[in-house]
Amino acid sequence: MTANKQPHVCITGVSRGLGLHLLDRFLLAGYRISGISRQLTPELEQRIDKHPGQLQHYAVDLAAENLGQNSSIRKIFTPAEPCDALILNAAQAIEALATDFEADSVKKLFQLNVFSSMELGRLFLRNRLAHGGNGSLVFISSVCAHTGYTGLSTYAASKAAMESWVRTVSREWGRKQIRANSIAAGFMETEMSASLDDSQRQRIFRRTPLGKPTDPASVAATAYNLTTQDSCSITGETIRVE
Amino acid sequence: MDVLKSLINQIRDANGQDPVVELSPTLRWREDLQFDSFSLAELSACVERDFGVDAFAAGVPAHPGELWDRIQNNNRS
Repeated sequence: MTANKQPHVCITGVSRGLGLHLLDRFLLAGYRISGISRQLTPELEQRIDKHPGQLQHYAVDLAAENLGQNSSIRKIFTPAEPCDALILNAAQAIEALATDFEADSVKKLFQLNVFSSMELGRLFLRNRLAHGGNGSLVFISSVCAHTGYTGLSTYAASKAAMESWVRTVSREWGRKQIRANSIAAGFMETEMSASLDDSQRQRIFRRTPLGKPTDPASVAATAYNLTTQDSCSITGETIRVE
Repeated sequence: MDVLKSLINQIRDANGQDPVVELSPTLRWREDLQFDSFSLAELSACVERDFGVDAFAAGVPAHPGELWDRIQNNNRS
């Protein structure tokens, strides 16, 4: 992190759920934030109004192809300005048994969860190289990439693919002090799990070590800590927060 | 080419290598400049920072002279 200068973080998927908690944690720490989401929700708008100049929102559909040519994305990662940290949070889930999913839907899911994340990661790494290295990339993964969960095979596969990419990035660019880690988050009471009924929810929560939903504020705090000097020797890890 | 030489020497310095005194346009990246793929990636990012062009998008230029041509051509267009 650059001393005496407000650090700059890019966070994807900021319009709801965990994304709002990530915003709150980095706003509290005084970061300048480039937040990406397709939509501008009332909750996001409220934070932008409260923190003018600190939080800049970019309306970008991360599932679109040729993301690197998007003018907002180019502005966020312009080599002229350092981007100190990247939090890859945006993701989509499809609920379907492995016998039933539609190939086109899965392609779209991988476009957002994997290919766009890699492209943003590539632009972030180039930005860091243009500024002498350092910096931290954090990918928000899911415990279901490790434990599996019925009906979420494609989502779990996309998370596992990215965890592997992040681990490899940490090996490649550790020499420039660029760190890359994943957080395997447990099930949170966010919109992504809103389609589950109560009995499904209770079944999931009974299987977790703490027997309750994962606190998104704890996930956000872990992401924040992975961008600070306190975690300067942590890279290539997947940290379970559940 | 002096600006390019300066960038190349910054990367060589970070790698613990001596600066090049004369940057001949046809020097070879690996054999003459000891640039591996990591150094080239860094050079590519620094060129984009300083000249506003991703001069490696069409592949790695054969030598510093070709890289300089790409930068110049972009600035002219």
